[in-house]
Amino acid sequence: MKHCTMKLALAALAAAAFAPLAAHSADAPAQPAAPRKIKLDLAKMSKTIRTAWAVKLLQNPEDFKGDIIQIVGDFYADEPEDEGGERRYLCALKDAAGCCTLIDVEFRPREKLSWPKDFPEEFTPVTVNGRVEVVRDGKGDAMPRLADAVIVRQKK
Amino acid sequence: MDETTFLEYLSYPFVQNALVAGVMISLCAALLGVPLVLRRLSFIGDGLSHVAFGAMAVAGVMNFSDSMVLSLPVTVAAALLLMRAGRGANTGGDAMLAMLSVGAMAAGYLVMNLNPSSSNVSGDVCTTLFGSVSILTLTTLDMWLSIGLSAAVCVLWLLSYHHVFDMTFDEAYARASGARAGLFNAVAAAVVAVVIVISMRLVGTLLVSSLLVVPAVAAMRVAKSFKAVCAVAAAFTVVCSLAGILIAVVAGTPVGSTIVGADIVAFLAMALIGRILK
Repeated sequence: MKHCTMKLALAALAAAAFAPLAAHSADAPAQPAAPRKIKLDLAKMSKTIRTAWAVKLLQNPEDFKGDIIQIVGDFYADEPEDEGGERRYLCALKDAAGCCTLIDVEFRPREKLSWPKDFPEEFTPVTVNGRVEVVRDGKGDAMPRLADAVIVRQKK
Repeated sequence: MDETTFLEYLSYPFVQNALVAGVMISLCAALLGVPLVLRRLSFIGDGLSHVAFGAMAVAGVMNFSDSMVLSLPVTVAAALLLMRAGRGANTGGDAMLAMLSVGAMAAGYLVMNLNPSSSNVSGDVCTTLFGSVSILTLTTLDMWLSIGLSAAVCVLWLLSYHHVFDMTFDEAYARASGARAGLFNAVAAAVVAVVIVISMRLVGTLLVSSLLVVPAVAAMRVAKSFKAVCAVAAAFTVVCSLAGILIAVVAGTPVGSTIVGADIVAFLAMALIGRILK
């Protein structure tokens, strides 16, 4: 009996010790994620250099594999052709004249986002950063894709 | 907003490559441009660049890894054909140039549309015609090919300076003195074709003539002797090409148009200096 009482007392003590911590975790606002170390930030470059980097990304995506890059372009979603297929989210990087799309870079958001509520309006400018991975398209050509992507919200 | 500093832009290898290749290409074009302008052959650059465009289009459709493999020999062949046609009685050289020029341009664009090698045909055509970022996206092979060919043209020009001088001012005298004028003209035509093809990577198809013509015409505003005109044209083009590429990189403007813009502004300055010196 004495043994049981001691165990109960210890349990109560532990609960009392950890309770404030639990309460703190439940009530406190989430800390913003630490800013990513972006290796190549196309958003901070002139249009000419941005286009040159985009061409290099298209020509040799393997050279950027694993790098965190930030790109700027027009956002759009590509609906799957088959019923069970996945929707793809893309950022269309324009050429230097801004008239034509140079390369469509697919990105996979890091967080679970709800379509279309959590996404920007289609065919509007977006800034996206993510880790470059290389995938093959239907013709077997290597294409870049951004994994763990974050859509940078523009401040109004 | 651009937050990248000027020094950061200069640290990118492809910008450094563009500066070196750009200076070499414009230097050999300017040297070649002086005798071309004096012999009233200023439009040959335009015509041959259109032929090169057509050849590049076919090379793209045939999936050549480097379009120069086709565009260089085709443009050299066109240059030799034009040289022969210029001496023919039936069709004048200028009419032949016009036909070849527009025919090749139209054929090239038609081929690109019927057999697109990319999903962005309009963008590819625009980039090729105006050279917006071509010089910044050279592969290592392209870069060394451009630098090597430019250096070879410059050396050849320097070694044959006296022949160039004689043939420019008095071809009849040069022939009478024993110079092999026919061979010289053939080699000159081939060299012009080579310079046109490599210059397209700097300023695009439609603006190639500016690299040949503007430095020569600007130099003639301030220099009087052939040697002085060539030296001033060389210095002029190096300064303008460097300025054009750097301004385009920082300001985000198309490289080809910016270089030509720099050329025109510098020409106006030289014209003013020429008037003052008179």
